[in-house]
Amino acid sequence: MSSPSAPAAPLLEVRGLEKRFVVPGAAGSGELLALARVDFDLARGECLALVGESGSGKSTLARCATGLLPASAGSARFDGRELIGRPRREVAALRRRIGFVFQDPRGSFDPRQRVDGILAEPLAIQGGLKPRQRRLRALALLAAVGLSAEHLFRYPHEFSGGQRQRLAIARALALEPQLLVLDEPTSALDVSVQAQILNLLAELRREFGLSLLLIAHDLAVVQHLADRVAVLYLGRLVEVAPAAALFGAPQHPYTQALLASRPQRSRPAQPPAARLAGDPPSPLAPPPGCAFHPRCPRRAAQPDARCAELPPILSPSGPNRALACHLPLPPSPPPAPG
Amino acid sequence: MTAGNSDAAAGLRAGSPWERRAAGLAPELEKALQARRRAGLAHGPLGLAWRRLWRTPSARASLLFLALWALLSGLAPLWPLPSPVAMRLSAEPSPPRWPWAPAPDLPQHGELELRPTRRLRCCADDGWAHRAVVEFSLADEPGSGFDPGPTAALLAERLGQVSGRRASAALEALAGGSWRLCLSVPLQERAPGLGDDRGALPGRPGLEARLAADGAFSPRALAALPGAPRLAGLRYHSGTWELSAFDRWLVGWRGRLFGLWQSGPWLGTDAKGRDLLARIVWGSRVSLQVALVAGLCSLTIGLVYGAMAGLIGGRVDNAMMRLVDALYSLPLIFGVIFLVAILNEYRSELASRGIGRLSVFYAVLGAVSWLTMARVVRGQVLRLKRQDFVLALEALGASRMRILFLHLLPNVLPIALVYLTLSVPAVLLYEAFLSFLGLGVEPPQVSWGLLALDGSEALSKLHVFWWLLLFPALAMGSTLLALSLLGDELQAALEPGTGRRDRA
Repeated sequence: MSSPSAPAAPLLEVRGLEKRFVVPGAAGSGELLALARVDFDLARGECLALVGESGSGKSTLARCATGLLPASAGSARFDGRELIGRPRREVAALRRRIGFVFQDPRGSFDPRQRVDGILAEPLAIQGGLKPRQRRLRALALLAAVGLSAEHLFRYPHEFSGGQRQRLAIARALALEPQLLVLDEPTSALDVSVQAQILNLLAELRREFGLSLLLIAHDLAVVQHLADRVAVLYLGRLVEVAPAAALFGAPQHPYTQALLASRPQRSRPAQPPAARLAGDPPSPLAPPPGCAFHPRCPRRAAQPDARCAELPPILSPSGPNRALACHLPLPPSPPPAPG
Repeated sequence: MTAGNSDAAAGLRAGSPWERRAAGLAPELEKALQARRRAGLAHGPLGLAWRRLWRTPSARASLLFLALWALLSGLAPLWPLPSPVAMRLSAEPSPPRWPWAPAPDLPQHGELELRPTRRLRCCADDGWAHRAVVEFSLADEPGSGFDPGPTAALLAERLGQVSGRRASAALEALAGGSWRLCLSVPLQERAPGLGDDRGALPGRPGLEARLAADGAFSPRALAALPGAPRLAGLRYHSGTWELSAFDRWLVGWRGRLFGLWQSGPWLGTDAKGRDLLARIVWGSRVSLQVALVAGLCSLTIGLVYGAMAGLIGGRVDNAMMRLVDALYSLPLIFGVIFLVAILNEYRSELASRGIGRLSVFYAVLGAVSWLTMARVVRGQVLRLKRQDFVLALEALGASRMRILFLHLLPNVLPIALVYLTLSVPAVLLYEAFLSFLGLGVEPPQVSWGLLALDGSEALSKLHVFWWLLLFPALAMGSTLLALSLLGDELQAALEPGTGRRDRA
């Protein structure tokens, strides 16, 4: 693990987290299992990326794990203190040490607040600073994300997407969080701006010793920023591994397929086995056993009865990594160069 | 970074890196503030919206126009207008008059010219509710040594007989050997024997009718008196128009500012000889008050109801909105008529508790006009609630009340205001309709709706008394136009980013 001088206790410790949504439908109300007993740790100073397809529960996981969304079961401890099932006020107080950056940089600001108001809002909610001090803080935050005093009295609609995302980051930093949750921070931006934002994040992380929980479906972003990667499929963690190891030698067939689906210039066409057939199943009626088994290329190659019956358990599969698969290791493909 | 109980101070630790950074930025903040001041942006969001509004010509014109109406109607007792209920003295009906038309050929057989002298001058003076004043002008051939005393005494005695009260006389010599004679009788509000001839107008028409009917005050009889007195006017008021203390105070100022002078029938008179200009101004009081009160009712009820439904959501929202749907499905005007009719039954009970007829009317109109507002607000709250900024605020630990009042409602308000400017015309029209049905404003009072209806009734195939319809309609129409223009510009000014000009 590449995290610097991590103390023994993780910053965020998630155990058996479950989230169910009741979905009213035409055919009675169904229950959607958005998260199925998810466990993970986030060490201090570490950047953990949550990766998966749309609808795999990445955002839900991040929100439940930080108490923003009430979880159905399980526990999430932030800095040793429980976030789930605690009174609203207590959770809110604890959550002030977690900053959030959301995907849509347009909708994440009150359209009627100017930048000074937006950046002072966290401080105003918390209380304790005079308006002038809050304004000075706002200015300092702006400077920290590469904006300047001339932007202080503008409305969010007067900014470009990248600038807005910088603003969102500045707001998340206002209360000096220990953890920054980045929900697809760059997916609404174009590529050149993406790079700027990612560099900014890396810089801030170094500067303030932040831990990051990064949600992304763009693997390039993950590769750029993450220390460790957790892969989600249909609300279940299928693989957790250090970024380098995961990108170098993915172990879960889904991870392999995910990596293979990246557009790559230098790599030859993937063998057909690495491509996925079909769509992800409906989370309303997940397949029994391993949720991935109907699409699993590895199972197609070496059928196994457990896949359709037993849900696999996330278990250690190497140094610092864990895997949820009944068919742990076929002859591993040669690690891709680069 | 310790995990103590000092969550609240987590971002505010002394010596935190931010504090040091912030301290160094003070000069830059000053610069930014100065730049903002120079750009004319050193205002809160409301101040900014106001400036944007004021810079728009149409909005400014609308505002000034509405302010003018507010002034005219709010201070109506101050303006030197004839009484809006003063009728022509003659007993026989006569058609409405348009003063600017060429004078019709009237028979002039050396008789007293009736028209100018018998024009009623029922003006509000500081004795608004207490005295009737009859003015005569007396004149004889110059140099004849005419003594007006006996005539004055005669007329005073006669007036005393007619009114049943002691009349006092005051003579004032005018230039050219003529006199002004002022006779006055004290009145009590709803004085018995004076005020019961016509229920709707206790007091005044009683005396007026008596004077008109009394032979001693007929033009012919007056002409036969020495000095040929001409009845110049009769002014007083009693009880028909319940004036508040403030209005009485204004009447006092009117007397001090304008004396006995009052405007002529510049906009014509109606079939009863009442001055249209005065009626439009006095009518605007009722109309604008109804619009204002009902508008505010709809704004408050609609905002609270809609915001609650939208924010709570789920079953509560469902139940609340079905109730609105149910109310929607009733013909609204029917409901209003029903409510007003029921409340009319309990009129005296309500009145004994100090609830006037008009306040009931206001409340009923307000109570039915909030439905659309509630729906619009709920929709807006639902839309805003789903935006990420609410989530971001929740993530920062903002309370629900803070989110609602500081972030959701300010975002809803522009649209609510626009709907308000749309619902005010509807209320004005309701007012007219209900008044027509006899459920709203009642005849001694005037409102624009009543005036317009009077005017439309006065239209006939034989003669078009166009001014009776045109001027009330103009007053109403121009006010509605100003309101809707203002609403448009208000939205543009309050919603940065959708306006045509975002910044200075």
